[in-house]
This record gives sequence, C-alpha cells and structure tokens, in this order.
Amino acid sequence: MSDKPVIDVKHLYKQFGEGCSYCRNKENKLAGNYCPVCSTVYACRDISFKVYPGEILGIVGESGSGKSSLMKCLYFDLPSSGGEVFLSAYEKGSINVLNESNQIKKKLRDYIFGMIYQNPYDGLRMNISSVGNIAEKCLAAGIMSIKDILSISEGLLKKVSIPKERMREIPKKFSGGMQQRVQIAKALSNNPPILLLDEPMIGCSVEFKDERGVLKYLTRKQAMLLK
Amino acid sequence: MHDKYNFAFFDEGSKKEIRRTILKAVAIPGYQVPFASREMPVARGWGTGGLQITLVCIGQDDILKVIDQGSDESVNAVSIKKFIKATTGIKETIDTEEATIIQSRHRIPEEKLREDQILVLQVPTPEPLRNFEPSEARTKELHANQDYTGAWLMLFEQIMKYGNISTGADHTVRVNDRYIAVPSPIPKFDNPKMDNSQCLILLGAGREKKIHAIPPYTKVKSIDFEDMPFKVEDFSDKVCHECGSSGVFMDEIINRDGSTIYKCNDTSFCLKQKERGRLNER
Amino acid sequence: MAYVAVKGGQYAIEESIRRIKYERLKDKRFVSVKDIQAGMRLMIDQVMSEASLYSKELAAAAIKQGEGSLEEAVFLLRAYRSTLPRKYYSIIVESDTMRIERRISAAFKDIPGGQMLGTNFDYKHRLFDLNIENETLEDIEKYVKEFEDNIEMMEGTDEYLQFPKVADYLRQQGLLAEFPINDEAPKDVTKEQLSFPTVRSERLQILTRGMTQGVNTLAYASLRGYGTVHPTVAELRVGAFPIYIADPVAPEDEEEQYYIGEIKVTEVESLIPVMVQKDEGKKEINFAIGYGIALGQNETKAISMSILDQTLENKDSGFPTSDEEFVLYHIDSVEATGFISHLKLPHYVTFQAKLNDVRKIKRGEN
Repeated sequence: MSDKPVIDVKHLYKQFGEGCSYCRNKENKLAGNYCPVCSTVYACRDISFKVYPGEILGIVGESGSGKSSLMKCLYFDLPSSGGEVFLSAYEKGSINVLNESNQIKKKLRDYIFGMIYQNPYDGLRMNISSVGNIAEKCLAAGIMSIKDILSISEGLLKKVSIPKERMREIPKKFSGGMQQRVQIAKALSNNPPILLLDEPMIGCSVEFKDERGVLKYLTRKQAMLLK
Repeated sequence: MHDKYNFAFFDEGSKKEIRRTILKAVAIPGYQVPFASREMPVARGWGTGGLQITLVCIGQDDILKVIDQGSDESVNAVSIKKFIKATTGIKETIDTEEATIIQSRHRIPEEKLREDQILVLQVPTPEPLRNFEPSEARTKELHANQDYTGAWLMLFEQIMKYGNISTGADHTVRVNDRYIAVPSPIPKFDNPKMDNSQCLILLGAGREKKIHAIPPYTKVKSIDFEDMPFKVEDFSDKVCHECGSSGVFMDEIINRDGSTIYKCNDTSFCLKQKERGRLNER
Repeated sequence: MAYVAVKGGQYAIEESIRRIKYERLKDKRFVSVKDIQAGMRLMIDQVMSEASLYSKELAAAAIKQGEGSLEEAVFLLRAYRSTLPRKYYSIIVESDTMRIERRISAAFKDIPGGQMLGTNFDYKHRLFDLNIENETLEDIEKYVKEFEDNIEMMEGTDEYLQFPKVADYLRQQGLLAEFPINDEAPKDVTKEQLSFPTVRSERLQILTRGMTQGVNTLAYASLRGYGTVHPTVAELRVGAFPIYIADPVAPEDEEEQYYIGEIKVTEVESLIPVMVQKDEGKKEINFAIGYGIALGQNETKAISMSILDQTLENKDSGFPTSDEEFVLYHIDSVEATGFISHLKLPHYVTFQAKLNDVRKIKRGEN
C-alpha cells in the first residue's frame, strides 16, 4: 500500500440554507441535523478521511444523514460549504480542488472520478443509447476513436451482463437493475483512479447483490468510496 | 424609399452598436456575441441577422452580391438585394469575383474568396449545442467550461443509429481550437472553405440575436472521430448538365420523365463556366 | 435555358408583388386609415401593444397595409421602429397618477373610489347584432347626440379621476410582501440582448410586447394546472398616463420637464399567496403582486401578463410556465411568425446535403 492517499478530505462542510443566529451558535441544539428556527439542514459537518489506492471505504448511516450530499460534494455536483479536498492524481495532492475553477473541476470529474448515483436517472441520459452513455464518459476523458469506445463499452457491458444486442437501446426502456448496471459500466469506462458509489446496488437482481463480489471484478486498482 | 430612410436603413447609433458587436466577434473567433438585434422589414428567419451585418458594413463604394442556396435569383436573395439597393443605392452584381460584400444563405460560393471581400452568412440557430441542451443559460456555461462532449456525443449517436455521420448541413466546427460554432447550414462540402479562409466570414442570427465570426486565416476544423474522419459530400462522378463542371456542389434536377440530371448549385459560377466554354469553342 | 432558370426568379417575384396590391384593391373599395382608427379601436390597441409603438395613426395605417393581418401590422411597425433614432427615455411614471376610465377590483367589493365599469364587452351578451350591417351615418349621429346630452357629472368629481390603489391598502395592513424600493434603471430589451437569469424589468418588457394570444395561452395553462398561480385580480385599471421627458440641459430640474403626450394603458395588479422568508430565516405566508401592463385596452393580456410575471418569479415550480427561457423566447410575434414562415423558403441545398447522407447510409457506405 502506498503511503500517499488517493483522496484526502479535510473538514468538509455542507449545509442547505443560509443559517441564522440560532444555529450558527454551536452551543444551540439542532433537531438532528436540522435547525428548528430557520430550517437550515446541516448535511455534512466537519468530515475528514483518507483513502489509499486499492482501499474501499464504506459509509453507513440513516437516510437523510448526509451520505449522498458528501458524494455529490466530492463529485462537484453540489458546491461544498467549507473544507478541503486533495487528490493525489491532481498536482500531486498539493492543491485544494474545491477552490479550483469549473473548467478544472470538469476535467477532474472526467479523468479522475467515476460516479454511480443511487438513482440511475441522475447518472444516465435516458434518451441516449446505452453505448452512447458510456461514450459520453469516454469522449470526456479524451478517447476519440469509435473503435476504442465500442471495445471498451462491449467489454464493460459484458461484465455487468448487458447483452451486446441491447447496447444500442436507450436506458429508459431498461429495468431499474439494468439501468444501474449501465451506470456502473459508464462510471468505469474512463478507468478512474477513484470510484464513488452511492448505494449502487439498489434495484440490482439477486446475483448482483453480492457487492463485494461485483466490486472485486470491477477493479483492483481503484480506490472507492461506497455507502 | 431612399429619400425617407437613412442610408442603409438604420440610424447611425444603431449601426455603431452593431459594428461594436462585430468587432468583438472578430476578436474572439467562433464565440457568439449577443446583440440587440433589430426588427427588420424582412421576416425573422429570413436572413435578418445577415442583413443587419451587411447594412452596417456596407459603404457607398461597395459592390453587393446576395445568394440564397447558391442562387442569385431565389426569392430571399432577390428580396434582400432589393431592400439593400433601395436603402443604399449601391451597385450590385452576380459575379462573385466582382463583389466586395457577399451575403449568402446556406452556401459558400465555388470561386475562392479574397482578403478584400467579406462573406456574410445567415444563421438560423447559432448554438451548436442546442439539440443537446435546450437551455441557453446552460449552453453558455458549457462553452465557458469548454465542455464540448455533447457535440461529439450527438455525432456518436448518429453513427450508432445510422452507421454513419448524417449531419447534412450545419456540421459543427471548432474555431481556432477553442469555441465550437455552427458554420450556418452550409453543406459539409463548404466547411473546408472556412479553414484558413482569406476573406472575413461574419455569421449573423437575427432572431436568436447573436453574431459570430471567422477572421481571415483562422483554423476551422469540422468535428469528427479519429477513425471516422469528416467527409464532404461527393459529387466527383457528377457532371453539370449546363456547363460541364464537376467537383462542385450539385443540384439534383428531376425531369418530367423521371430521369435525373445534375446542375451546379452556384448559378453564377455555372453561367461563367458556360460563357468560358462558349468562348473556347470559338 | 440556364439563363431562364437563373433569371426567372426575379420576374416571378415582381409579378407576385404587383398582385398583392391588386388583391387589396380589386373590389374597388377601400377603408381609410381614419375609418380603421374610428371603428377598430381594440385591434389598434392590440397592434400597438405587440409592436411596442404607441401611435394610433401608424397602427391603423399598418393594419390597412397588412390587409387586417395583425401579425403583418405588428411586423411593419416593429421594422419601422428600427429606423427611428431613440433620443430620450421618459421620466418614470408613478402608476397611481393614471387618469382613470375604468377600474375594477375582484378582491374587494367596496374599494375607496368605488368600482368603475367604464367600457368592456364583459357586461353584454355576445348576441350577434344582425342589424349592424345596416348602420347609417344618421343612426350614428343620433346615438352619439343622445348619449352626450345625457352625460351628467356626479357631484364632487371632476374629469380627472385618480384613486388610491387597492394594493396600497393591503400594504398598510402588512399583508403584502415587503420589498425595498428598487430604483435601478430598467434594462432595455430592445437595446441589450436577454441574458439568463433575467431581471424583472426585462421579463416585464418581453411579456408586455408579447403576442397577445401567446401570452394568454401560457397564462391559461398555468391557471388550469400547469403551474401554481391562481391569482385574484386586486385591481384592473384602464386609463391614461401623461408622459414627460427631462430637459436635456437640466435633467434634474423638475420644473423644466416637457409634456410629450399621453398613452392609454391597461394595468393589472394580481394577488398571489406566497411564502416569504422573514428575518432569521422564518417563513410566513403573504401576498405577492403579479404585475401586468399593456398599451391600449388589452385586459385579458394584462391579466395574463400578471400571472406570468409571478410564474417566472417562482422559478423552481418545475412547470414550463416558470422556465424563463421557455416563456420569454417564444412569445414574440415577429420572432415566432418569422421563423415559422421561413420554412417556406427554399431549402434545396440543406435538403440535398441530407439526401446525400441518407443515400450513403442506405448503401452502407462509410
């Protein structure tokens, strides 16, 4: 195991709402993560962790405890309210990526992260073919040959048991489990050093329920965050 | 009409404003500069963007050519030419080489354009990402982030569906390695004429209120894939029924008996070729 | 033969243009611009409103030239407007200075000053008057004389009626959401292109010059279910505003303002319940105002505008009537009719290019 973490998260905060004088005072009690005065939700408060290459970090918690918000902050889908994130694959982990420009963040999403959302509607374009969905991630990561895109897609779709004949169909026509599997293939297509998985197995059929089994064959090189 | 309206229709304040937009467009090749597009006596969608550019660029010494789909005599070309003539009184021509300003819809003339000429193209939909993303606010962001995956993805989907690129006209180009832009709906055949063009190309979208430009000697590359390069329409095996030219963009003409012949789409070029042929015969 | 193909177009077009004029004149009768102005009051109001040009004479002439096609009349006026240098912005009009002709409230029965019906078809059965065809000048003169002889001025009123606004009453009661006075100069959408998100002054301008039926359709959709707004009309007013411009030499001097005429408008203030964020993040129910205004007497349009003003304020409703690009980009008459009619233009080259692709694909070529 390398001594450099792939991702290093320091004191990450995420809140929804402006906050008020009551909840800004740390001594006052919140109702769970919710301010009873101004309805501001504190999804993530002071979160720090490190993940090393090949490691899998699982996060558990009640629904509404901020797991998905954390994922979305790391993938830049949501702006964070505070904290720092360092990625070893970007400037050798010397720069807090949360402060980078949107152009840079887009590059990081395209080249360094793979993301599997809880809801396949968040991660797929439902009216674009399954292979097109995978192509989107490949194209963003600079793979500009149709032959290469097709061979990557065919390989990954085979791994997640989507028959080759159906790869030109749109995910809208698929079952929830199949959609989720297309999403997994899409997230892996740029061979990302970090994979973010937000309850990826929801709706997947029984043989897919063995998460570790699936993840094992997905990759051995990547670091993952999983909830 | 000429007496009651200002030279070239607009008041001078409006002209200056639109000229400033054009200068900005030239300074940022391929970037769509928003402008307060005026309502014109020509309907929106009938070339009001191009018309506004022509009117603010034109001077008394200019010689104007207007073409629509390659023809100097198409309804739209005639109407625009008549209007400009009525408000400026300048000289008009059908000869591409003689013209100093050429306003065109959907074609770039066959004869090579020069540094002292301006080509004005009429643009219906200036946003190359519009089919991918309907929201203007969002496409502006995509341009800012250079997030152009959508443009290639749309091509990829076509290939998956039809086995080939079927963009028809308006095949997206990348200008100066930065912005992607529409070349206006010219056929793919004309796209390469934009690359490193000697003449200034101005593209105006009146209804969508945008102007973009391709300055002279600017790199313009049609988007494609490594293993499926951009290809133009091929007319190499077709010969013009009128002038005998080949290697130009052809119109397909259906005869009454159902047979097909081909003619040059660029009608003034065709006339010239025919004239030359006649002289050679003598 | 090629010469004919190339040269034929111009001749055909000229003949077609000659023929339009013939179609207008072939019955050898004509309506004068004055007749249109006298008898087509509401048509003129609609045209002025969509053209955003207040001139009854020009609107009537445009209607005549356009043979009664409103989209054509609006188009003519908008194009003419592009040639006029615009030298002044008027001084801001406070809308409670309106000289009122008609004023109703659907929110309160008794309002200070009372309801004033003015004129509207609302109070009449829409029975087709089969005698209107036979109206004579004699009938007209008799009717007008009788009507004018019977006008009595009510005691205590003078000709220049001004009333306090219904909304002001609600504001005093603390029922209207409070906003600081916004003195920012409005953006001029005819001089600056829209950029998103828009500011309210831009939205109001696009809505007020929107296609009447387009504005109504979208507002109706919102009212019926594709939106959240069911307003109560606090007040609808029809009346005239005097318009002043500042002295260019002494713009600050209120004594030196120039009166340049008056414009008749329809103004609507609708009440819509909203949740507002109070201090410290607390939420409270209150009313917001949807504002509608249109040149001339255009009541349905002004009400519709007040609905769309509110749907566009409430951006996250998820309905298309709250999507500002969807609404603002598609309700302009000149833009919509122009782009749709451009489909009649030749598309020979674009279609040939498409045909070429389709054939290639059918042959299975790369």
